Amino acid sequence: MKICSIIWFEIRKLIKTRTVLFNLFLMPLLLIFILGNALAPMFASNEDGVISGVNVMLVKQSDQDLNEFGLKTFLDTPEMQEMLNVIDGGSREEALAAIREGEMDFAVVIPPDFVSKVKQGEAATWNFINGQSHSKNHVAQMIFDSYLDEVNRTQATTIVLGPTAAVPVLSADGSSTDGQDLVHSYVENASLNKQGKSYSAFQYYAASMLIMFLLFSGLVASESLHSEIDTRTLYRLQSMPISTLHIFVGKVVGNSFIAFLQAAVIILGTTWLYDVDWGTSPQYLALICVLVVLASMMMAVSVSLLCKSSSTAKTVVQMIVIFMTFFSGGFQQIPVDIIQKIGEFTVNHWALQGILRIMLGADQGEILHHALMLGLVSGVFLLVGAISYRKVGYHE
Amino acid sequence: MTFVEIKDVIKRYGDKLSVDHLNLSIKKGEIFGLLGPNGAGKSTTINMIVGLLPMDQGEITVDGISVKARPIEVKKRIGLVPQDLALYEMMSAVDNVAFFGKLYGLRGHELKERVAEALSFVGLEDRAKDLPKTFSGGMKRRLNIACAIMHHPKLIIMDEPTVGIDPQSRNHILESVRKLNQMGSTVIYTSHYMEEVSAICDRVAIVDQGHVIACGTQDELRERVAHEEKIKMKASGITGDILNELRQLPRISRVDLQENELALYTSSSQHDLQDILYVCAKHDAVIHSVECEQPTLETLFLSLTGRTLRD
Repeated sequence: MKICSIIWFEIRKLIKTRTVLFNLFLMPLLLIFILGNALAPMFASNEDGVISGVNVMLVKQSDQDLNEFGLKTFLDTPEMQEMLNVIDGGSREEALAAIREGEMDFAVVIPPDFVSKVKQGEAATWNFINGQSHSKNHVAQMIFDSYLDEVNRTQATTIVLGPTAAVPVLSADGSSTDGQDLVHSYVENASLNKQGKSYSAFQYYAASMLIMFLLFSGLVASESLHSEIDTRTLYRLQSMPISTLHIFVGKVVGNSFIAFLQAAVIILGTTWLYDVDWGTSPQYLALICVLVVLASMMMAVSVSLLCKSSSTAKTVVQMIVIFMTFFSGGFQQIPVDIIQKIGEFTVNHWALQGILRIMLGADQGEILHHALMLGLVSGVFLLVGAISYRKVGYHE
Repeated sequence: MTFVEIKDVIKRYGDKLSVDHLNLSIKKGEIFGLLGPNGAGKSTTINMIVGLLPMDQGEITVDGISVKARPIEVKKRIGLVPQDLALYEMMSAVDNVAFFGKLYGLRGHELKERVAEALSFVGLEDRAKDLPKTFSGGMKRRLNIACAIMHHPKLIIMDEPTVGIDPQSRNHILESVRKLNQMGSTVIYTSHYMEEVSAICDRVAIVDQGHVIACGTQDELRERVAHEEKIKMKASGITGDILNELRQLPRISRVDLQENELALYTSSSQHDLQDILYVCAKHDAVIHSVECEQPTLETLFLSLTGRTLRD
């Protein structure tokens, strides 16, 4: 019962503090709104990532026969026709004018010596004229580059190993020599789940900010532990018939309760305000929140016990949380190997990946794998917290 | 009947001996004063009685219960009024007292009654809903006491509860201590203010450098320094020759000069006063005032240690 008094006291104390309420409950919703809106273009979800067909003008600068390289067949395949609308142009100037006017999205100029160069085994290149859309330029460039690469590869094989060794890009009739469909993509479209969904910027930042703010909730516990020392109330508490461990646990549990309340506000608030879909597994979402709060509390109290002043503890905890959020891609996904490797050792990484999978309706096994890894990281923090308490203790 | 027994207790901080073979026996129902200068070991002793500090050696029992063996049981019987204010500034006075009351196991109607009683006892019933940050220093001190007495403890320990407050609040607190004692609580009162201890304590232990240098009722202690009367003189023109001559007088044990104030310790002021005045007159010193003081606890401390309590 006495420990309940401590827990309830902590909750009341926090609820009565306006700045804490703002930082814990309103700040995350505000940040999710800002990040979700500002960084939405970086997230290619099914809803906002469809690129319409690219209008391409193809300019042949001499009367070359490109059929032996299968260009026409390549462009006539259904996949290419879905992505490209190719029309023939008379000259480079005409193509430039069409792009300037916005009639065309992209232009390809085939130099007069293209065929002869290919046949001589020299590197053959085309000139690309970019249009106004970065995405469309990117799509067209990728398609034509891969075609050219294949032409050059085939020709090089023919020269070195003989005509029979090379497999042409496409035969004139579109069939392949080995019986396989050569226009099939070597890239398999995959997603984090089996439903083919992808997450939106709001979903990503809602999950990321939820984790970051839950980690910051340990900071409140750390401040509370230090404030009892600073105001000498710990001295009085310790003179009462309650063990120091109970005081310590009561304060941590009280602050954890506020953290769970914070998680509920973020989840319900983002669902209601920003239409964020948190998936259909609230039990796993709750499990991840519990593990993150556990890690957060244990990390913060370990730092508190080891740091003499409240301000030092606060700075250290803030730095750790920011560091973990950054390396786990919580602010922005960073496609750098070393950063991603470091990120795998953070609470944020496993929690974020777990929540994203819950949002996308992934397999239970996949979610549990992430929850288990998160549990291991939290377990390490729990161990560090327990050792710190045992070694240092909570006293003035 | 002994209520608090301290037997041969030692407490070290590194190499420094803070409490040195301390022995004390505090009777049930008395107000026991622990008098000593800052750093004498009073607070350390209190912390060990309450179980906040482990002792390196010795044994302390409260109401027959060992502090070492059953600290929680001992804590139930104690109400500690800490030297520093230990209050939650953002919680109202009533919430502060109620919170601490809950930790003593009080609940429901009983808790409500005890909280109201404690606030009324310290004269804060009208300010019950106010935040301590709006209180004066004296009111905060009184609230500090209320937080320690709402559970009707058998032993109340007050560690310098009047530090830095106005005389009115100080009198209120001293009056409260007497009342609490009359209501049946044993009180341990620590202070380095000799006047406070003299005013309220039945028995006093004078502590210095971690051990008891004198212990007994005030009369018993004064008896030990009955021969140590103090003559205070304000004079100008006091020279070294005068001081030397005064020190030669037969019953004078000590002569101190601080600016123009001369303090002389004698076994009989009646006999010596004339001689003292004669010596001063002989050397043309001008005497502005003369005052004779009966021996006090301060005198005793000075006599035993050669220092004043405020040194």
